[in-house]
Amino acid sequence: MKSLTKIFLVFLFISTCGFAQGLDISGYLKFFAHPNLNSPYKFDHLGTRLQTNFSYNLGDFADFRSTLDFNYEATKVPGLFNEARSKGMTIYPVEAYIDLYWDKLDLRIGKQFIFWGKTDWINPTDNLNPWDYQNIGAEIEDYRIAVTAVKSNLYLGNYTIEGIWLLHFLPDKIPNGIPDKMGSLNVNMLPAELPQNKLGNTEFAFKISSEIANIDYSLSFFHGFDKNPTYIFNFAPAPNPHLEYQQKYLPVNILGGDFITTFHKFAFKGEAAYYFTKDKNGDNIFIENPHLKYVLGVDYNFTGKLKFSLQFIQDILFKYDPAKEKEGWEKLHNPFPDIKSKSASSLSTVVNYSIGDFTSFQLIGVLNFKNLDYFILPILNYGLADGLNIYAGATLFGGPSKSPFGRSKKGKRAFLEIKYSFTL
Amino acid sequence: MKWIFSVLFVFIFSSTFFANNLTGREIMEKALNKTTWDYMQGKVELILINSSNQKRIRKIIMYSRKRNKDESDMLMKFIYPADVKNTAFLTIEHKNTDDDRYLYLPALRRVKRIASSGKGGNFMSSDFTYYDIGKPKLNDWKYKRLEDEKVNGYDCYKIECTPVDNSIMEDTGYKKIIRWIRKDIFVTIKSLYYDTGNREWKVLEVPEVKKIGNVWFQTDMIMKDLQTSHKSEMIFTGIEINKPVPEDFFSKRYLQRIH
Repeated sequence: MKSLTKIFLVFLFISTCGFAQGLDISGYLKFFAHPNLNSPYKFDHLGTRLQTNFSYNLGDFADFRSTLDFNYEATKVPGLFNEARSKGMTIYPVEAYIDLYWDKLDLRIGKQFIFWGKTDWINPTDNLNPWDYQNIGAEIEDYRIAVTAVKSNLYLGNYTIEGIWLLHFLPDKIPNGIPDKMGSLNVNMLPAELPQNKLGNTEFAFKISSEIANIDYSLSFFHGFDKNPTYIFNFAPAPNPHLEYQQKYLPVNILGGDFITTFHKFAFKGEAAYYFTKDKNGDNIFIENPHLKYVLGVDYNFTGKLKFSLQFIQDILFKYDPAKEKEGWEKLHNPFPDIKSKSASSLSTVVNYSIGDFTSFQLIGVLNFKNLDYFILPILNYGLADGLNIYAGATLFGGPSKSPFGRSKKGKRAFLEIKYSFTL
Repeated sequence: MKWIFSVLFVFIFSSTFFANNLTGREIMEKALNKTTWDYMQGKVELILINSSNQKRIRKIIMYSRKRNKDESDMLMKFIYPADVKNTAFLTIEHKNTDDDRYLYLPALRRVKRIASSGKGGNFMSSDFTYYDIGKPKLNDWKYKRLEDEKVNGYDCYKIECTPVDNSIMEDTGYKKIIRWIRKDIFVTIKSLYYDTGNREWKVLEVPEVKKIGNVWFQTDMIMKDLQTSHKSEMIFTGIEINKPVPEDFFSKRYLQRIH
């Protein structure tokens, strides 16, 4: 019924706007196959998508935009591969918002993407749109989730003040990595606890941006909830000893900043955020300690056909005592304690290369130094004709099984997509 | 009546004499002055043709303005094909420092300052470089006038341009450029580019030149890469010269409003 309402609203909108000038219809049709590389199921995704974008321009004062996905997933057909994943046809409203423009103020109201940060791929200040870690692929709208928000941009001379109000909380989508059994103990999952949907729980953020010489910089603040769940464990003793856990989404305040500057063929950039978590004193083993995450990077543009980016990432925990943490986990009888280092460092790279006339290659990679676990996302793009592209790639994870990327090894998959983009 | 013919004779003779005695630098200076505007806007069709004669087309809307004598701004927005539609570039030129370059990628919904690929970087993956599509700086080159030649039936000055120093050569990728400039309108209608190894690299042909307002404009340009047999053509349509473009077009704010 919800889907029918969505379709009705879309067609109502088209028919209303169809007679007016300023309507722009575009989108894409794509076939996608994401074969699993080490899973009992042959495909993670297999299907077809029609995405439609409607933009309606109301002169210099306002714009309207909506994006709607009609998705058919063959892997989700009952009985084909795994009945639990069955869905078939879905209609997904990706974005729908209205822009209003004044002399010094822009407003965007509705379901939208708001990406913050000046570094690539890893952005400590980018905490507004949740991630869908189950669906990392070629399209950003596949692995990021739009939020319903009011966004305002106030332009005051050389400064831009951005204010955001997120109307309701959405969490990240993360594959469940907790096994049913830990050693000899059974593990029970309790229903996740999300923030209550009330005015006091709405999230907000501010950012002030400017430039000096040829340096673009910004300072930001976010008040809301961690989109990553905190796992709260509890040991239930005899007669039926077991572990139970619950995912909770806890409040967090984040103070951030970023910059980027260029010098000839180089761009130097940095981004940092301090996370004020609920574990202010570092005495709760489940809740993440206050921490600082920063990224420093450099881009080099060889000839326009080859671009290279390298970034160093570090996450430093404050008020963290590994011995105290270990003691706490032992009391829980948990055979897999989550003992972290006081700091964790990584390296990330993005390489873009135009191989031939109509072929390009992109490589995204992240390597964690502690366990040498890694994530690699290579994507090859061949332009068959104007607007017709083939994408081939893979999401690869590696490293020890207890490491962050090593835990995701089961999620290794390839992908092949044929996409035709159109404008009516 | 006689004196009119005398004056005309002296005028024609002297102008021919002075034209024939122009140095390479003077010809180039006249050519640069003939193609100057304060504002320009129009559509560009960029056709990329590979050695197998496969074509890809890009269509762009372009706005340009001169901020002052030595600095200009340029905004380019893709309108075709659909997969790159609404991608936009903003270049703020600076005389003494690196230009500011901003890229808006619709998928990322954000404007990003980007590093320059240098003047020798390829423009939109074509055979044109950023240097080729920009206005050359007179003082970056030394000029030698060669013997005049005819190109496509037009009398042309033939000028050899060599970089004043190695940094210009490294930045543009050119060790030498030979230009053929039409004598009647002082517009380049052919150029031959040599790579840093002094090998013939690319040839520019200009099949169409139009006078728009008071400015002669190269409305069709074909750049052939002699080493790879790749070819790119730029066709300009709907060109408007000196029609003021709002100042806020050349801002990051406007880039974000594009969709």
